[in-house]
Amino acid sequence: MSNSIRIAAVVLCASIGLMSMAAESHAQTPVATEARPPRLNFTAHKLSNGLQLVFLEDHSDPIVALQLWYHVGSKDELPGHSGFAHLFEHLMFKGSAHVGVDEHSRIIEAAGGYDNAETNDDTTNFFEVFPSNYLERILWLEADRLGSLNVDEANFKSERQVVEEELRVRVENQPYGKLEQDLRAAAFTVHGYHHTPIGSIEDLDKATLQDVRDFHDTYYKPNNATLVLAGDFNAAAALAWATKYFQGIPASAKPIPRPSKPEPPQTKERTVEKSYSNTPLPAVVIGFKIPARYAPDSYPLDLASNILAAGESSRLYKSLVYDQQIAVQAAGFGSFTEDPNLFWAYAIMNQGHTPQEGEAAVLSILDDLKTKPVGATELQKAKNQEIASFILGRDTDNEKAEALAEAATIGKNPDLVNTELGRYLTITPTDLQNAAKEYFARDRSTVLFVKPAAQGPPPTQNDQERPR
Amino acid sequence: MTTMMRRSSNWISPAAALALAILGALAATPAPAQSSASQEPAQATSPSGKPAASGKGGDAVIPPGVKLTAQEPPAAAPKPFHFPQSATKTLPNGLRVFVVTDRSLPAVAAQLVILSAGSIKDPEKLPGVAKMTAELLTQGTEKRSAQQIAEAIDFIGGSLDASAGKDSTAVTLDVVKKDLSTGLDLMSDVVLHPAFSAEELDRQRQQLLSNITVQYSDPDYLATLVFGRTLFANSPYGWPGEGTPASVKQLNRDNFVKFHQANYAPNQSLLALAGDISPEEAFAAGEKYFGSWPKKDVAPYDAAQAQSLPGVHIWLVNKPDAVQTQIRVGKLGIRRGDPNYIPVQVMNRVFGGGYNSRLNTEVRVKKGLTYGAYSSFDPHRYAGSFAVGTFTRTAATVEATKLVVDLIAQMAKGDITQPELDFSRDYLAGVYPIQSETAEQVANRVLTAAAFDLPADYNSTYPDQVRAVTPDQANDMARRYLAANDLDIVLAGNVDAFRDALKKAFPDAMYQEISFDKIDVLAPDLRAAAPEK
Repeated sequence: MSNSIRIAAVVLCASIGLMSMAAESHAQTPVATEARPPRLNFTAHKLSNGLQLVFLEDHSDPIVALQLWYHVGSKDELPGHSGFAHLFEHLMFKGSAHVGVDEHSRIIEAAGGYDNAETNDDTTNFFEVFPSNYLERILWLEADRLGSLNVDEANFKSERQVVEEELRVRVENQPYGKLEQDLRAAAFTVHGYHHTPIGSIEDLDKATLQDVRDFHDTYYKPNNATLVLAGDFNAAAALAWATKYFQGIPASAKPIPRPSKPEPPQTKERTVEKSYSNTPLPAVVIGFKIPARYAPDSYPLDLASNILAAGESSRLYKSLVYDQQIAVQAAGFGSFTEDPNLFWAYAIMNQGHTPQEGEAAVLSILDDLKTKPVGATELQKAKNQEIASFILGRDTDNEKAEALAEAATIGKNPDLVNTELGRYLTITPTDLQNAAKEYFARDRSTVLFVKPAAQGPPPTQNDQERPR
Repeated sequence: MTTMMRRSSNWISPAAALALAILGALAATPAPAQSSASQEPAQATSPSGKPAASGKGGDAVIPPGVKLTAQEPPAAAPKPFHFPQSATKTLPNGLRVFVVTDRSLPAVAAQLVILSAGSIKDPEKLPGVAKMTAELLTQGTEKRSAQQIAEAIDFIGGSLDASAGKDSTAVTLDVVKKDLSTGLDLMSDVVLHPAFSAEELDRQRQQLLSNITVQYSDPDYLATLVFGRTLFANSPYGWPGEGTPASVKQLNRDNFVKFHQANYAPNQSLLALAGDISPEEAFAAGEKYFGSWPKKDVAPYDAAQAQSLPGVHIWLVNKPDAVQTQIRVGKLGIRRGDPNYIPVQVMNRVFGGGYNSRLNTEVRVKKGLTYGAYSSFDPHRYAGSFAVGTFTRTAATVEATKLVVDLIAQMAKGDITQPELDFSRDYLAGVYPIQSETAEQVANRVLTAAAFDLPADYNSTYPDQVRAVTPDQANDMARRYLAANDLDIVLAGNVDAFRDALKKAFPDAMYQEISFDKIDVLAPDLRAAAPEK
């Protein structure tokens, strides 16, 4: 999602810093607020089969970005089927009624475009960026694999092996690669967010070709999809082509199933201890239950993540990495998704420092946000970072298309791309303090301690509910 | 927050991803679209345009009630693309300034490239100096503390970063337009007047050592590390720019002061300003913020270049807890300024430069052995590499390695077909406007052309040059630059599980093996000395 990309980008840039005298001098200068992202002047349509269309014309380059989002993600997977939405995403490239195996991406590459797809908690997103004279052909391609699927047993099994290699490279062979799945498994008891989109090899091995067909039949329906175009095209022509190629695909007869159950309120802090063999430095991750994407309280929390982790002057970085030098990395960010998810606060410790020390240091920084209102300058910094990321993060047609697709699919309103920044800019120090008090509460948290394993002994595990 | 993708877009250049290694595990995000475009070109079989060649599919698989159009629509006439104009001017101190004006966003990106400050200039046996010099730029100047710099750039929501690559150091600034002067003032200060304080060095050293500790437990990093070292032998391109645990411990303030004094020079640098700025504004800003930077003589780079060794050389990096083996196969390639650069890229696109290349089609698509198999010719100023990178489950290590080597051998025969060539050329020429969409992308191309002394019309004629590559030329490149008999191979994984089978598959290769926790790439045999008692 564009939001998580934005946040992650900030987190990735986080390195070193402090704020002190410089803050004072800013307080005296008038804060310029005239910088704003250009408005995205889109048009929205809906076909009679329920397919949502969002068009943004921009003729500055002879290219078009297409984002086609299906509203199905890993949270919709039934128990025992983890990783299935993502496996299915791969199979969408394995042929449809009039397009051969892997022909989809060959057609796009031959045109001088690129394509890919991604699966996350809530959605499965297919995208292409291509020279604008190929728009009609690309719409035809997408319609063909929405309306039909042509996967055989051999392709299915081979692609499942590919996905299992993806899992190994991202999770099992990667330092700290299991951290996310272990935190989520402890933090969520019934909701679909308790597992990650990559799933498990065990579950992937159980999937059958019939499951694949059923999944397409259930979720790949025009009334469960949003098609966004941004770039060099004529909206009237695009609407005519979209109608020509997609209109013949009927809406689903039954409502789209939403199997994920609401997560019951957490009443006690949970702690988990893990030890991974390829993880040489200790770490601590704390996950706090937070509200969903676009919820009013998500905005003060997102600004809090800027204050905690955006840049080398951010509080977690300054305290744990720069001043105390107990951690090599320390950051915090909200995972804002369709249903309530987690705010991550974490530290990867330097050698000789324990995860418990990291936990105390992180919690102390979060407590500061609860007990003292942030100063006007620091709040303005967080807002300026938000403004800049809205501007700098919408440079390409594809970035614009992605922002529109998220707003339309998760926010149910594409115009959020134009109005959402305003929600950030009205946040007061009190709003932020209240959000910190409510959501950075211990009884909403799950703490994962990671200890390096000595070479040899098997991983240890010790889960418990820690009394307050 | 986690996103899983059909194909990864950043692993192809593992070195670039290293900085993200730790965090990648926490916040896996899709790679930016630009990088997937720029790094994932290619194809091997049919020239597309023809749907459903396999004879399967068709109306039989269309569900009841669904109406689809069988006929693939034609493409409209292509629209012309003209590479955006840029303006350039050389300041009296020799700094070359480039401007790309694009008013679509109220933002400006600045990039200063110091051509003489790459990590190939690191002192003998002391890798890490160029990189640490760059890292320390933003950690304090004569008049600003590290904290003040961080606070100032963070307050405007901008970013200011410095990093050293093999051939050059780059300092980049991204800001909204109204804060441009604040950003350039900081950028100029960190480049011209860094403090290199001992306290900040100790901080950065600790950070780097912790990061290296994590990297040395990652088979992906280790395979790339050993591959670079074995490929480039003792030439500076073979040393890890981030340093080694031993070299980082030795770095001292004097190294950085000297490196900065000797190699940071305006007459060896390029400054690009891209975005919401006119040439006049940009030239004036260049003069204001970098005009006082004194011109100086810089010693030329004169290290000896590596020579390829004959035969197949295999390094095994043993990491018993690995569930997957990281595979690198390759040899020396070409320089960036080589006149064969474009024909080689067209050839490589056929071989392993994209999703539909021969390599990925065989190793991933048909055999399911990996999540991705790609090849690249990475050209530097004085040397270059050809490298295949992939990974597979431990049990399939020998099969995948053998397949890669066999595909290289086949390609080296020079058997590229016309449809394969068309596919490669169509992609590389067609995607060029997409990869030149933002002012920053355009500026990067302008800087690349200037940095490597490419012809003045290089960027504007690039698509034509791609389309002009003939089958004979492409096949000549394959024969000249690929050879299965002369290869460096590195396998990082659970070696005990595949060592014997590998030696049967490659009976004539020369083998060396090392445990993952005993690597010292500065030692002649890559082995760390036994710890002192």
